[in-house]
Amino acid sequence: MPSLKHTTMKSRIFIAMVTLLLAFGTKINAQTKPARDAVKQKTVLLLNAHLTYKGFSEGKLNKAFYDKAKEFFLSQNFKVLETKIEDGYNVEEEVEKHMQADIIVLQTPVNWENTPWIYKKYVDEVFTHAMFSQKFLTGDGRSEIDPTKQYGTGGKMYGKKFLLSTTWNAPEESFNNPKNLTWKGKSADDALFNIGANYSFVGFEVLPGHYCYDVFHNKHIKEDLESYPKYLKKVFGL
Amino acid sequence: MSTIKKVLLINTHLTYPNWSEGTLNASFHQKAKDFFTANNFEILETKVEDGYDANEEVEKHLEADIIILQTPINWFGAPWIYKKYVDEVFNSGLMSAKFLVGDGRTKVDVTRQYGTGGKMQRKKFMVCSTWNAPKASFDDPNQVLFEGRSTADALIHITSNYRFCGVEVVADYNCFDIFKDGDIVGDLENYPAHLQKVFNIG
Repeated sequence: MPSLKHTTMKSRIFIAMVTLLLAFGTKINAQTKPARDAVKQKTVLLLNAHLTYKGFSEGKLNKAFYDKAKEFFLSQNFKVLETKIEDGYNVEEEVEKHMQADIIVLQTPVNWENTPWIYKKYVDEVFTHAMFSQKFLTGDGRSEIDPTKQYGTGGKMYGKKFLLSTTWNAPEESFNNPKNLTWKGKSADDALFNIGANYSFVGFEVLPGHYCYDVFHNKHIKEDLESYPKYLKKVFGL
Repeated sequence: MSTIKKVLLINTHLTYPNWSEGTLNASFHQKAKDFFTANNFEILETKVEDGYDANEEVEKHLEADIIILQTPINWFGAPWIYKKYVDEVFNSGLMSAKFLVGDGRTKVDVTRQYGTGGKMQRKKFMVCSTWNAPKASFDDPNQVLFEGRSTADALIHITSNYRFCGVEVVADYNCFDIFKDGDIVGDLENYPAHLQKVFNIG
């Protein structure tokens, strides 16, 4: 009997120790897991370039797309950095945000076949600053020593990705249509080439844009909004 | 009825002190001015950086037979002051229905295409730009940045506004590689011949 009691005692201690060790192990695991995730956590910079025209364009649609993207990246455990250009910004801070971001998404309406002017002002200021400080690029890529080095390969932002998400009046059928007088067969990506070109010049991979067409007559705004997270998932491989 | 033709010369250079003072763009602007003056055109001018009145710019566009934009390429487009100018001037021309009457589509005639609502037919638009990019980076599918695109392809975001309003866009003129190996003197010399050719003057 005493021996049995002793055995029971021993096994109880053993179980208690195993439980303790397991609990302890789980605790260690629980402590290290977020730390490891923090190292891996990706960062997205969301830019909203909408410019308000009172009573004509209040920015609701662009905000809706912007919010969809924000919600999506938060659900994917991204750190989200944000800039609403119309509300003002600090140029140096924007350079740093670009440095931190793995992904940049520009949400913009198309006004006169491009972004509102406040976005080009933002680009001229932020990219010029980062050119002089050599943070985005070291030059235009050409080299006097190596003539095979091409124009546009002097970027320092390789491994980052850029996506354009626009709303425009132009209907989808006006693109890729040689009979269309404005675009003459060009795609929507071709029409907005200048925007992505800056990013590819500094080393970004520029992804095919997400476009919400024909916004004043549109019958598919709701569908475009709903399918946007799926597009983000696909295009970023998340 | 006056037969004197008018040209609107827009210079949209933006000054960055000690970095980009606008001398080169001013030289091209002056070349064009001399050419059109010699061909008896009335000259209208706008230097965007010096300020403008949007409604007056609309009137200048309406008067002009030819519009030329002189611009440096900063970050693959005109300096931001030009997009501000476009947004203001074209919005005014849209609200007053002077540049266009809508986007061209009608519910009555569904064959009418997007981009056919312009009222500026028979006018011509040309871009003359100065680039850091070398000529070799264009029209070559092996080039990583432009991937075979021409200068006209790279400038489509500027020219498409004018096409949208019915203006004919003629071949652009470009001065490449201005910081390194470009032939600035030659490009300036050859500019009048380009103007003569694309506008069929003289």
